[in-house]
Amino acid sequence: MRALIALLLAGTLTVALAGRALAGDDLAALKAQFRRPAEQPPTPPDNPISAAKVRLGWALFQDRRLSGDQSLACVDCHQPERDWQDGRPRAVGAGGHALQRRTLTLFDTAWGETFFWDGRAPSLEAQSLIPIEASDEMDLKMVDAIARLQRVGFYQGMFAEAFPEEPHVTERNVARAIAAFERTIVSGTTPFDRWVEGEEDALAPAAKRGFALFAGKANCIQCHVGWRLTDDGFHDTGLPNTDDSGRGPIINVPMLNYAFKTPALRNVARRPPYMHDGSLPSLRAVVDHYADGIVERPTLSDDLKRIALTDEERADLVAFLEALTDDKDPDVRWSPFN
Amino acid sequence: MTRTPMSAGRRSIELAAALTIGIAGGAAWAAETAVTQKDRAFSVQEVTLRAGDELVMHNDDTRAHNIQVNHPKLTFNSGLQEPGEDTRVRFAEPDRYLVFCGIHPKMKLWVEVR
Repeated sequence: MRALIALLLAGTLTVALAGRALAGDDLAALKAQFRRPAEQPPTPPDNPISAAKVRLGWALFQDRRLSGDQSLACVDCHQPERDWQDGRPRAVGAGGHALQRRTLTLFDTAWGETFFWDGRAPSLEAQSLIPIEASDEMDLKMVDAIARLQRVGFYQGMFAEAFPEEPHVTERNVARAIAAFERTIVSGTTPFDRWVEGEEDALAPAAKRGFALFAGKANCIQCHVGWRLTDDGFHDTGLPNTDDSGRGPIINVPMLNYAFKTPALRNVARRPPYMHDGSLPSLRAVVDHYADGIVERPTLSDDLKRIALTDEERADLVAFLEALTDDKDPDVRWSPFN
Repeated sequence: MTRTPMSAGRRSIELAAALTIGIAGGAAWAAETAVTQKDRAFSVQEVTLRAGDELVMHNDDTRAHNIQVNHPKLTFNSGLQEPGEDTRVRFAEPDRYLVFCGIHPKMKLWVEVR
């Protein structure tokens, strides 16, 4: 606790960062970086949200006709009751084929910059069709998918209502509807949010100490920043697994090999296991990795500091991460069904 | 479109913000506009160039970046741009271009070419 101490003074948390006390305006500025958005999520100009479009997107999201053998829908990996993931270390695709990476949650995906762990899709519209066509995922060519959907009576009316200017079952409209639906998946308010907004008792002392570590000595904030707790960037965090090159081949920069997108952390405690390869079973194991487990190699992120943490500090960090859990009451401020 | 180390003199000028330096290019004028990258952000969010102008981006950050343009009229990838390095991109045709970092995609710079 030499470099960083957290104190409760007169009911106000005082955070010391690198030996410098942080309180009042500084703490307010730090909290402001994590404040939930007041504005509706960013939406492409050619795909404004509407109730009809979201209804269609949800229908398509659940439709197993969108896999080659009609055994898989988007919802089979992105399960609402499992926080839009599947609970598995790594996803399972067509024919029970195990994939290399863990299913990403869809919480707050509307605010994402790029999609997939390697960021290869620049928009949700572009992303939505890729797993359908991937031979090891849903394994269905889009031309065949469209032919199938065109034969389903109720889709004619749903597409017409969702896209009155282009009332047809087309690849572009499938992508736009699924993306519009996904933009409505917004995580709910957490104890951390209530504390950020001034409710001093919303966080237990351990979680407050954990936040001080997160933003200070442990340096998590370097990448896990902003209200979704991600910089949307790509980092090699020194996991032992080098079977998967990650971002490097996507941007043709070998120094980005083994770099993956910083995952958002809302509801993280409900979403084990962790990391792109599902290799760490618990939040404690993740914290232990950053303290003791980093594998040194030239591709490690410039933002990855080597840290030492006591047992108590590790427990405090986990307490903070657990305070990012909502009460399963999603944020519907921007729902088209309001 | 090359990367070159930057002189101390140039750096001090460019730290101010984006500015345009005219360089004689025969009969016509070509110009270059300089911006910096620091703390995972460009020094400005938008610049306006004339067709044929060059944009110089100086990495004044503590981390490497990767400058990209993905546009029907211009595709560019700087590879790894280490701290201290310049990346230069010439914009030949009028249009609106997005310059972004392939490592930190929140880093965006809109380039309006007239």
